[in-house]
Amino acid sequence: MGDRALLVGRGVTRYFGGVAAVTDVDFEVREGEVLGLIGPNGAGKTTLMNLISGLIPLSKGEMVFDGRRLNGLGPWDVARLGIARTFQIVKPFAGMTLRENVALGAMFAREGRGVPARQALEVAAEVLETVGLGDRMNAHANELTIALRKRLELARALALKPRLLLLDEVMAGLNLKEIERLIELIRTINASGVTIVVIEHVMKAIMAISHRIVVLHYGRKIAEGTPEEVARDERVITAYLGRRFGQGKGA
Amino acid sequence: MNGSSMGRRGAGLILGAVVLAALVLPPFYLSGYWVRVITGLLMYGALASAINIMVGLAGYPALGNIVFFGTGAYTVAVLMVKADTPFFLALAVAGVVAAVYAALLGAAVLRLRGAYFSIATIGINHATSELVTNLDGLTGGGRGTIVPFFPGSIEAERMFFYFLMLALMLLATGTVYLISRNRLGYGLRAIKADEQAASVMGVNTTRYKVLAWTISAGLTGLVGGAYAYWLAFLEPPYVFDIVMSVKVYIMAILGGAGTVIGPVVGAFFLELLSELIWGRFLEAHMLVLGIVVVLVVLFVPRGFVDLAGRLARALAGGSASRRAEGVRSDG
Repeated sequence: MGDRALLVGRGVTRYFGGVAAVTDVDFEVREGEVLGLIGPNGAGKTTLMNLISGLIPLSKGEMVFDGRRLNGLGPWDVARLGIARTFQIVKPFAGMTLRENVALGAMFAREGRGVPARQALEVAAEVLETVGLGDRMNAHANELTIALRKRLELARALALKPRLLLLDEVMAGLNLKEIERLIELIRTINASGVTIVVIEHVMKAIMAISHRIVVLHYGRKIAEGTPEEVARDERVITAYLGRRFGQGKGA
Repeated sequence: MNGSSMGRRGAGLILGAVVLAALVLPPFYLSGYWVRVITGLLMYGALASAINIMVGLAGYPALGNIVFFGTGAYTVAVLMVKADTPFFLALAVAGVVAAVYAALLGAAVLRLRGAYFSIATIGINHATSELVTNLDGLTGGGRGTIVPFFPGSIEAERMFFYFLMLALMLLATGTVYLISRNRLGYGLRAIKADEQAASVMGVNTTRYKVLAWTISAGLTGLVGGAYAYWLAFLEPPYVFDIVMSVKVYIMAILGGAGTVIGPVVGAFFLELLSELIWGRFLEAHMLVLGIVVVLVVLFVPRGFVDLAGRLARALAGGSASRRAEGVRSDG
């Protein structure tokens, strides 16, 4: 993991009508790291992720990914630059098999390197294998449990061969065993060279996988640092973590 | 394994030959009335395939898609009447005009979704119809316009329009086949399932939707142009007919929206039915059609092709489905 910034946001701001969902946030995601994004409900985590992936435009500020300005790009442009994401509420493509779902990513992967449908289906088979869905390639998404749907979501994002992967609460709704397996998988993906930003409410998980953590509260960044630093921070303890996690880590 | 796939290929070839014969032979053996009826079936098959690109693949309910039929029809009429253009040149231009019209409209209208998009297309159809009616120096307006007659015997004319509509139907259905096997088709199906998810997977949703509508409109315009020459007399209500548009839409759904062959099956079924009903209940045919539509929505909501697939799977035996259950329950 280097110190080179892969994604930089400066003064990132987004209003919905008169409400500021994200206000003047500066952040950077360093090449090769896992960056955790935490904060109470409504803190602006998902909005920030939507801004990065180009689903909604910035009201103010700018974002630069590997030297390229993201402002004004459509989500498909952002995806082709190498930023993939999952959704908190999984959005599988109904009416397609798992294999077709994932093949789509390979078909539209990075700039000008999209592959024809037949070849993409081959790639999809490999990716499904890596997330442990290799034996259900021809199933439909609605036949899967929520844990497996989350894996499908992850596989689809991976098929884009991303440099930066945004994970929006991939662990919500999973049991402990499933969470452990997913942590393992995220670590493997990270070790293969993919930089990752994770939004997560499962504190144990995010503390375990993140190299650094950014804390948002009411749309502003209130803290940033290693998991240990963040867990000791008074503002973070009052705003979000509460005494149990804060003290446990800080003592 | 290899043997059975060879067997399947052989069966496919035989089936293909039968279908080809069934499509090519009728005008040589059937009466003028039936040739005309089947020419109509082929035309509806082409239209249903064209709308399928929007409705079935992209999931955009282009209920007013008939606007491109009218646009194509009037392009051919105006070019042949005012500029003595040969028919096939006029027809090609009709396809292009309809496609360009959709591309221009699409950039604005395809921001809307669902019912709103549907209503917008109906509005566009009405507006275009009014425009054609009011440009009466060019189009003949509400009085209509006479398109030059086909220069040949009645038999030759019958053959000509039969094979013209057959060619257009094969073109439209072939286009759907090609699209659904390529990136465009996958992109459109993703848009249909979840537009936001499609966009973050790298699908340029705006471009793909406009492209889909452009292709759909171009094909619809070609059919409209052929219809103008076949009918030989045009009035705006004939070719900007929203009832016809709804009928085509229902055909696509009935046969199986999003499948390659479904819309053609739906078109043949509904048009043949409506032809038979037409002869017996001149007053009540809309009522009967309405009842058919309600029955379809209630009992075959995903179309004939899907129904046939489910029946085939059910007949293939319980063992396969039991195996599938096993996979599901251990998940």
